[in-house]
Amino acid sequence: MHGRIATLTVSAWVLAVALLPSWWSSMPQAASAQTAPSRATAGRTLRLPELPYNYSSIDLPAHFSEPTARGFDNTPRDNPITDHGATLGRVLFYDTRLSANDTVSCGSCHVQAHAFVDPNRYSRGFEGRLTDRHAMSLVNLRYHPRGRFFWDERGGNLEAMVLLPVENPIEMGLDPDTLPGILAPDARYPDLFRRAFGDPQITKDRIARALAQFVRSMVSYQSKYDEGRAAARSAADDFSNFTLRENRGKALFLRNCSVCHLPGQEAHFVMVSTANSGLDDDPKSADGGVGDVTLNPREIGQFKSPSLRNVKFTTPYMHDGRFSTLAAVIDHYSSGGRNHPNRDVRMLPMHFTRSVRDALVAFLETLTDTRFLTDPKFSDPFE
Amino acid sequence: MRGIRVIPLVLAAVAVAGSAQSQVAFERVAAPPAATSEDIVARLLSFDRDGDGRVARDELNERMKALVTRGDADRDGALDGNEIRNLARTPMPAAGPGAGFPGLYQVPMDTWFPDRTHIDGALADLKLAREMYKRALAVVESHEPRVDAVARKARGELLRQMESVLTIEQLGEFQTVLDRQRTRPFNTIAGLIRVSGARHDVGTALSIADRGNPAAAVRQSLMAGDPDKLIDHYGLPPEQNREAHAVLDRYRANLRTLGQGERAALVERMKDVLTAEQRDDFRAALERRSAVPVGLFGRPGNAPARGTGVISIAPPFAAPPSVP
Repeated sequence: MHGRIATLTVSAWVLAVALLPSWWSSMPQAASAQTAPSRATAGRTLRLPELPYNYSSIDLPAHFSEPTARGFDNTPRDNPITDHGATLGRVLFYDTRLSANDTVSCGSCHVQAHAFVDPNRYSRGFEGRLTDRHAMSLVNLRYHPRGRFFWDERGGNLEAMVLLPVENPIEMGLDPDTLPGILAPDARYPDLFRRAFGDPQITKDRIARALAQFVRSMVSYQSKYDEGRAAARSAADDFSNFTLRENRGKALFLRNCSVCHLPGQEAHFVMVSTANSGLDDDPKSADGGVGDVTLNPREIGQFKSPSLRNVKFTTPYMHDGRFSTLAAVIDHYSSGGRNHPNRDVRMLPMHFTRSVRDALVAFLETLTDTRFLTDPKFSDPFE
Repeated sequence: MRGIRVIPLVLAAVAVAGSAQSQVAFERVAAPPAATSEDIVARLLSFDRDGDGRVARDELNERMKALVTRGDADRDGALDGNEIRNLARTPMPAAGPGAGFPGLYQVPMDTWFPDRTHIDGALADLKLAREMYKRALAVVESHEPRVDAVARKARGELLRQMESVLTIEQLGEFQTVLDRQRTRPFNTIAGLIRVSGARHDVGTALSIADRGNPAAAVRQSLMAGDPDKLIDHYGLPPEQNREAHAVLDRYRANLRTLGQGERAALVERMKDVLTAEQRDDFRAALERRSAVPVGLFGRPGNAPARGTGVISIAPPFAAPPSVP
């Protein structure tokens, strides 16, 4: 009996919470082009520049433009980055109405100052429940050549991936099919959609495209490494703007790490395939990564690696955020990893000394792009 | 024979005498048996919280719920053992070679002493001042004749022992393979290669290619610089085959020991040139092996590069299609 009463009470509260936004939005609101309508986070004003920021024609350095590096670009022909498209995507990225209870947005867990990762090990979703993997960095997703996303690459192209967190019952908990109906009452969106797509129609597909354009526009290319590389003949040369330790770290990185993390070119610090780095040794109980999706036993324990750009700020590290410092990450690689049956053959004991580890950390920190981390065009437009 | 018994003792002594970081170089603990589809079954069944022998959708994490959609043949909303086995037997197909970026790399084999490229790289990574670098290089160059002499002696002993096992012609081919190893001290490729459209690990692929054509198999071994494979292809009587492999194994063990000694000697000779920290870094670099990219990315399905033992491979695991 008590249990039934408790259930009814809880149900009543849930119903009230679910109905409250609908009731609220049906109330007449003061009209304002700049004020968010009722269902948005209260009191937030959307501020966009008169002319859109430049997302589509950034002046990339030469090492981004050499043929192999260019080949990493996964931008599809049918959804190129446009300034208006990315602007719309930016608004959507920070709009909490993409969550079931209007409390979290993509930007809640992918924080610009932290290179679009969550500074916490796990993220809190719309109901306060924790995810079980660290939020991946969104930096330079444009240059992941396989065009597959998430730690286990279960997300297809970016257009397919961007709405998966929206519908995830822990993360944002909203059926993406309802998004057009949720956004349509907001007088600003039809205009944003018109500018981006030529007419004001709001569709799930366009929402995904706009988000994908914005995410692809997040290109970091102005780090200390990039400045040094631009002034050198190749990445192997000592950079004039680097300290001795940083140059030493770069040399060590190129010799020991680049086979996976800077493959075949000198701009993109990404891996071109998933790998098992021996984080765990038990294929039965650890997170199975790609293998949990494909059920291919040889893929158990394989994970995607995010770009190393801005890695100083993407702590904690690995799919489960188990390492809180870069030194700990390097120690893991130095050990050769644990003896998992699918451990990558490239994972050999490196026996890094402390000075080698410090030099590698110094180099990795040169991948920091302060301008990217503070660029207003990637920031939250809601005030 | 006494010398052979001494080798393990020497190895043990070296291991104990060295610092924690100067454990036997190149050693990686043998991998456990490869994961199989039964591991997949066991893994999925580990999610069976209520112990009913089935894995229901709500017992799985969000990422894996789609497996029920894929594999629930009897539409009861859960996966039983047979359904899991069926799913595991037919994993999602790889979605092609993955953007044309195969991973081409070599893993240095268990050589006894780093080659000159490796040593030069280890020195370069220290970022020494010019004068110090030149002095260090001079030490390396003066050490080389000693290393060569040690290697020649060990090789001479190997060939002498092989004379009682191989014919003259076989011994000639064996020497060719040894020479190839000296100039190309890399293992065969890590990863998968395609043979007739199916993917196999390297060993299986080579076996398939060799099948029914012993002469080609020998040529393949010569190309790949693989003395063990060469011995096997000679079809020696079992005892002779075992003895040949044993001789080769003793040679390798001998080289490992000698190599450790020579590495230590080289580092010791750097005492007047490098600081203690630099010597420590240099020593660790000499012991380190790193996978080496083989030029730029090739295209999937390329024929083996002649005479290099390098095989162009498709990417290890291609991208899976989206989960429905």
